[in-house]
Amino acid sequence: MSIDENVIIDKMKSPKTKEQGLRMMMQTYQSRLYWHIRRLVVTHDDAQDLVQETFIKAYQNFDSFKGKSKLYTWLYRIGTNEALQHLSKMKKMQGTDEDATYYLQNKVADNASYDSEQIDILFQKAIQTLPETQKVVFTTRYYDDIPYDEISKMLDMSVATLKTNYHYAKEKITKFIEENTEEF
Amino acid sequence: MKKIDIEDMKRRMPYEVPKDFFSEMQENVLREIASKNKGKFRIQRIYWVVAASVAIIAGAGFLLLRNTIVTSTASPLTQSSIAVIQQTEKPATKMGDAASPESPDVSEGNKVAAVSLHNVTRENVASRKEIKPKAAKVVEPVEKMYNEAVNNLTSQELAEQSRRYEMDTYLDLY
Repeated sequence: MSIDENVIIDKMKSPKTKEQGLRMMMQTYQSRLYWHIRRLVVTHDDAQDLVQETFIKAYQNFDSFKGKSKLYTWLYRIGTNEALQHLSKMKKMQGTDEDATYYLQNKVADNASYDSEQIDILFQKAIQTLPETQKVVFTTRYYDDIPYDEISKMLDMSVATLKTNYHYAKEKITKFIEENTEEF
Repeated sequence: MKKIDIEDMKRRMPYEVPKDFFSEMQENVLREIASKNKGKFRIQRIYWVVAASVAIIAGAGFLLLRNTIVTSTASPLTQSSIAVIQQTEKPATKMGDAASPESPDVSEGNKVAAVSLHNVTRENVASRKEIKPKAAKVVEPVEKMYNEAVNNLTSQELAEQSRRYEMDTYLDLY
């Protein structure tokens, strides 16, 4: 059942119905938000913590939602920031960007289900080689099909810059898959 | 080698999600928010108690300080009459400086010389208005006693006294 965004916003604005609004918001957006974050951080446990934190922050700071963007854009922005902060901490622990990339690629292999396609695993490994901005732009556009103008509000970047980032990300992923596969 | 176009590929993820994960996640979020609200109310209550205590202490302190200031600004009659004498000096004399609060450090010789001036008379003193207690603060208790004695002298006696001192008071006039 799809719930209208305006209904959720009205419920969230009233203290009496705020909890009900939160339930509706989670029901509508939790799956998309979870997968968006998981594509960035790879492991289920990290994604779970970050998604929960995203909804808690959205609940506590709902007054800051001015309605200039879609509700899911605002949620994605919070979730993306949470994920990037997590990745930043992980990168510090790993030491170098290269080590962080290898760490995440290994996590992809460890977290893949037994019946997953090799090409899908390779695809996710390729995504982990991208710089963080390109990673976010690519996964948001490629998997969630969010319009460029909404991504622009999410990341505070121009549409032209987003398109450029997407183009370079696509090239890198394609090259990585071609170099690492024997089937093609 | 076949060229790959990732736009043609299916949007699949190689990961799985645990069963009932999303319903459990909702409960976790609601539980976390409820516990944070409880903690927030407890902290707010503490803040109110602390703020009320500070306000009470500040109010009591202010009242105490105010009472202390009121009692310290009271001035006896003799001090004001001494200040009147100092105020009647001509501007050329150093005694004029002694009348102002900014220059409390006036030598005894200067004060006596000023008192012995012919321009200073009992009638002038009597006709002058009361000086505010602020100016009177400059005069010390010893000086107060001295000036009391001087007030009781006649002009002839004052002139007699002045002749006994080294300082030529007439020079101060010109």
